[in-house]
Amino acid sequence: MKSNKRQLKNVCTGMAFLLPNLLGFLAFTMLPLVMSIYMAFTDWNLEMHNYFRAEPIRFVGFRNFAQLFSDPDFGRYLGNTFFLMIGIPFGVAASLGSAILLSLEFRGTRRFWGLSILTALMLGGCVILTLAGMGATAMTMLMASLFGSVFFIGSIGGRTVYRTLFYFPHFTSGVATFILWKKLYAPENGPINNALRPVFSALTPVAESLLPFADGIATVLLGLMMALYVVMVFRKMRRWEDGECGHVSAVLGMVVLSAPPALSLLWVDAPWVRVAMPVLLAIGWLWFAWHIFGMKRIYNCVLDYKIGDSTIVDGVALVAGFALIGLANVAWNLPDLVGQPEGLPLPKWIADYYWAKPSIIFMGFWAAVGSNNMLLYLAGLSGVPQDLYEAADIDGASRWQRFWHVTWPQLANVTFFIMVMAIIGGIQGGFEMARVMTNGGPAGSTTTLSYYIYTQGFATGRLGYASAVAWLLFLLMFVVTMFNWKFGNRYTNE
Amino acid sequence: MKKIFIFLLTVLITASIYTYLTGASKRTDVPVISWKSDANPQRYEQIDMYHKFLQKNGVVKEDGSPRGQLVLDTASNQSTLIQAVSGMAGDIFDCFAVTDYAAMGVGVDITEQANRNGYGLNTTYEGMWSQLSLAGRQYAYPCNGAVPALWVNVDTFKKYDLPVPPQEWTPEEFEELGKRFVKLANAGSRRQLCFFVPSVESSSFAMPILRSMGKDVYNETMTRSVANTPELAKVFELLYKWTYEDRIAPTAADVASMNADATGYGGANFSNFLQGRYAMIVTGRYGLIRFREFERQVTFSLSQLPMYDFKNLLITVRAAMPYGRTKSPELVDMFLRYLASYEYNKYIIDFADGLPPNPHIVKEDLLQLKDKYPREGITHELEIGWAQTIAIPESRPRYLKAGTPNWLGNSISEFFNGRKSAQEAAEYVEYRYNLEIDTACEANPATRADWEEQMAVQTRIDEYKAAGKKIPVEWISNPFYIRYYRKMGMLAETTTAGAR
Repeated sequence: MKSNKRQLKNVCTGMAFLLPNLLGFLAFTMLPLVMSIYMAFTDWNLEMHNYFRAEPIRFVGFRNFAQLFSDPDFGRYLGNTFFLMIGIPFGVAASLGSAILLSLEFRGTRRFWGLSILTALMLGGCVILTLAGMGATAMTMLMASLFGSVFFIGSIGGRTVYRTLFYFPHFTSGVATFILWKKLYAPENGPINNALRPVFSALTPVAESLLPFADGIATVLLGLMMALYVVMVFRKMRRWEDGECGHVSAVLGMVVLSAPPALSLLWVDAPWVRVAMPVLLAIGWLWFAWHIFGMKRIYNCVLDYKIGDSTIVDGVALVAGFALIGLANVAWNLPDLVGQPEGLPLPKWIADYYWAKPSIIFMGFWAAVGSNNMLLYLAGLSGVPQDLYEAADIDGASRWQRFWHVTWPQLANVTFFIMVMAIIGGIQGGFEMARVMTNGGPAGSTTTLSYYIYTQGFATGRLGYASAVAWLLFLLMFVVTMFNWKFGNRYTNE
Repeated sequence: MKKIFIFLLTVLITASIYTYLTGASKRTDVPVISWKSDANPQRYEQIDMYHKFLQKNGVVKEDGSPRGQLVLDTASNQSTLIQAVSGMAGDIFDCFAVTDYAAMGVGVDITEQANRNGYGLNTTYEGMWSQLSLAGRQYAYPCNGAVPALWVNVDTFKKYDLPVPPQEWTPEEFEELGKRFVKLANAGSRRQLCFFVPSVESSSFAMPILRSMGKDVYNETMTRSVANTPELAKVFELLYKWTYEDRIAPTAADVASMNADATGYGGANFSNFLQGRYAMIVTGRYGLIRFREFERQVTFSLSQLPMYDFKNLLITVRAAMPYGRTKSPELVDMFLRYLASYEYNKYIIDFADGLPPNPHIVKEDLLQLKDKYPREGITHELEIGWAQTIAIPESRPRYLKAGTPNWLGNSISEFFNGRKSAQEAAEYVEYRYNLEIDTACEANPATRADWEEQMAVQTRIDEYKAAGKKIPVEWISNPFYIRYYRKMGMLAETTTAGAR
């Protein structure tokens, strides 16, 4: 009896501790969440439904959701959101790269001298550039000195110093870093363009000399993109035949690989492309169909086997394809670029419609280098069994082989977690950057869905519609995460 | 652990009680009202003056101290909206979208008390009426206003031996002088650092030029956008030419570089102007607050924006709107009386905090400013004069919400970034604003009913126009067309009073 009483007392005490948090969760998370589901199906509009205007709130069914598809902004801002997510794999790679570097020991006589010489070379190079009248700005020198100091202190303090320095971006206030980047991106007098100016000046004569071959270079670059498609499709088919790739994985891979040739029809303004790309795609898909339906596989496997290969390797090919198309367009536009009085024009970064999104991706890349992901990878690296490396060494594995066959598979769980969180963050993201750096411009090029939800809800007062957008965003995240969970998890365990 | 919990709970409860007891309303035995405005040092002085105004007008306790207290609340606009619709906003709030708040039922109809107590619409600028009222009923009174025009740094023009811009000029005259200025000011410089004006990539620069050609973004009843005209495309092309071809105005990239170190309101425009990087800037007389702070003093003159035949400028207002749930309507009424009083208007005139809400009351003081501030010359008289004669507010349909994006500005940006041609950009303005109107009508049956009624009026207006008949003034809600048709002799003045 006494024990029961004591137990009850303990439970009550525990509940008392939990109660503030529980009440906070219910009041500020759960209740708004439930309310927003309800709002998404109503015509809740602050103009009609507020403390002063208690007009009945009407249930409108799926009208708010249906309206999304006729809203010219929704698709565009969804596209912007996805475009900015292109930076995620690069950010993850940067986190991994920095984690691997930071897991190395920097102290020691050889490294100390190595880094000191590197620092001296950098500073010496800057002095020579300055004497030559190139990049002679205080900011350039300051940056060079800063890098030099970092190398030097790192040589003495070792990886602890670097780990602290690399983690800076994460614990610096977001708004402060956005303002800093805004200054870095200043087109005329920002440090980035100041550093690029001499490079672009030096490249101008090179670009001028390439002018007669501009069309040829562009054609070769597009030819390379087509060759990449052929090679990758061939590789995919080989893997499928060998049972190294399931049907679902093969289809997904084909879709990913087909994106650059298909989109080049929209992005490239050359008559032959309008013929060549459809022919290439038709051959590729017919070949694929012939394999799938007309050939017998040597080894069978489950439908989604090696789906990670389709996501990662084909994803890299996709990015490479896009890069080749971009370079081809640069080559075609070379006469316009070189024709400017100041030579090759420097990027206008966030002041330019076409550069604004890549600028934000670069900034995200910088933030990813020293993010929580880096810490997760550092923790993951410390958990890789040393005997695996020893076994690899005995087998005579190179550095790259050690990474690809030991480190990377051992970090699969961490990578999976990071990718899931990064994709969720990517779909939700962009609000602070849009608010602080660009106001969603130029011409809406950096407006993401989260910024759109904010403006619809709290600027125009259409709470029902804003809730519908928010829930659609949630649905999107849910589907993507489920996909990741289903297939990514399998990849992790493979 | 339990003891720690009890201790923390006690601390939190004590802190809550302390915060409650030390709040503004508990520190005093008189009613307290709050005024949501910006955190400007001048607001605190204006609050002190309000307390003196209460004393002067006998709103006092037995000991002679004011029987009311005003405190400043510096919440953001978004917070104000949320607080207002939730029934817990400040008693008076600065507002740039009076019609929105009035439509939400958040404001109070003050028409009768305003006329009775000396702060009716007839005491302020006609150009502001439509921004202070809804359907002929007054909901707010101005704190101040502005007629943005070109403030000219006379010293810069003298330096290059160029004529000082006239008060009125055409786009061609503007362009010609601008080209001469940038050529002289940037001679020998690798990078262009000096411009004739700051960025013209804005709707506030485009609108007066468009209106000077007799066109507006909306029709007479503001039920539809009619922006898709060759005139608007011409304005876009003109702005583009000045920016990218003549280089008399900076591009977005130039601005981003100049503003990289900018802080404070107005960004770097003011300091760039004083340094001679801009020959002129677009501002109202509130800009003088900043100019007078700088050590380097310049001589000013004032010019209208370049335009064609029909002279016009935009007028803006920062209005004080009484909140529907105030517990002290008497103090709020006193505050609005204070805004129309000589004391307040004299302060606005002296300290250049924009246009005085009640200009008639300080006519004499205005004339003395040129003696007190010789470098500012007749700029004060000019701006206030334009506010009373040619200034017209931005046409803003009551069907559009406060947060509606600036599609005119956005389309200029689309055109400047090569995303659309000038005519496509004009077409886009019309399409987007009409879409916004349709969406607003769909969301609110009362709005739709009102819109349909106005559409019927628009049909009659169109018939009258086609028949060459004069249009009755009460049919028109777009402030631009009232002025324009009046000047063109196309208006039937069937009414003489009432807010518009």
